[in-house]
Amino acid sequence: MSRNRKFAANWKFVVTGALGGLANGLFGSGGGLFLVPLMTKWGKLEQRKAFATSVAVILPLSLVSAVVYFSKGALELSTAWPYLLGGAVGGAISGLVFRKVSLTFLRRVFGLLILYGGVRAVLAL
Amino acid sequence: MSWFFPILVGAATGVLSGFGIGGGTLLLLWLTMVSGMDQLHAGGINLAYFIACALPALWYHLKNGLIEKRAALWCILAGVPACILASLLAARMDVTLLRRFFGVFLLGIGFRELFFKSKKGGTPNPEAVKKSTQAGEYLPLSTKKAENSKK
Repeated sequence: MSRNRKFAANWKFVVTGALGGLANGLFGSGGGLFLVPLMTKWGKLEQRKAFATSVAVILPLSLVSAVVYFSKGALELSTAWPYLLGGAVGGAISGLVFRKVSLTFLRRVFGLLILYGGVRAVLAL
Repeated sequence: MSWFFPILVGAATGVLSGFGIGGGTLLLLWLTMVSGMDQLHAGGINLAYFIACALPALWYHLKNGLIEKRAALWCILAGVPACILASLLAARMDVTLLRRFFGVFLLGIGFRELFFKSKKGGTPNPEAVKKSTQAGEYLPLSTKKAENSKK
C-alpha cells in the first residue's frame, strides 16, 4: 500500500519535471513557472519547499540550455561577469533569509512575474 | 563604473531567483530594455547568471532542509531529457502557437498566485493536510528533516 503510494507520488514528479523540461526546451525559459504550482497542488509539497525545490530542478535544466546557448557563442564573459557576481551575492542572501520571508509575499511576487511571462508568451514577444 | 549597476541588478534579481519566484524574468527585462541587449545574448547571460545564483542559494536551502530531495530527483531525471528533446524540436519547428497556449496557461496560474487568499502564518493549512492524508496522498518527510536541520 505505502509502496504504491510512493510510486504514484514519484510519477507525479516525473510528469512535473518532464513538463518543466519540455517548456524550457521549447520556449527557452519558463519551465520553472510550471514546477511550483504542480508540486504544491498535485505533488502536495509544502509551499516553501516547493519554491526551494524548484530552484534545484531548474539548475540542471539551465545547465542544459546553457550548453546550447554557449555552443552558439552567445556568452561574453566581459559583459556577463558583473551579473554573475551580483547573482551569486543575491543567491546567497536569498538562501540566508528565505525561511523568514512571508509566503504571501513570495506567492504574490511569483504571481506577478508569471502574469508578465504569460502576457509576453501570448503576445509572442 | 559600467559594472556597478549590473552587479546591483544581478544581486537584486538574484534574491528573487534564489527564492524560486522568477527573478530571471526581471533580469531579462533589464538586459533587453535597459541595456539594449539582443534576446540571444540576454538569454545567455540569464542562464549563466542563474547558475551562479542557484548554487549558493541551494547550499542554504539544503542546509535548512527545504529541498524535497526525492521530488527534485525525479523531476530532474525526467526534466533533463525532456529539455534536450524539446530544444532539438524547437530548432526544427515554429513554436509560436504552442507558446501562446503556454502563455494562456501561465496567465491562469499567475492570477491564482497573485490573488490567492492569504492564510495566517507559514505553516500548511491543517485542513488541507488532513484532506490530503485522507485521500491517501503522499506526504513529504518534511517534519523529520526540518527538525534535523535545526542544529
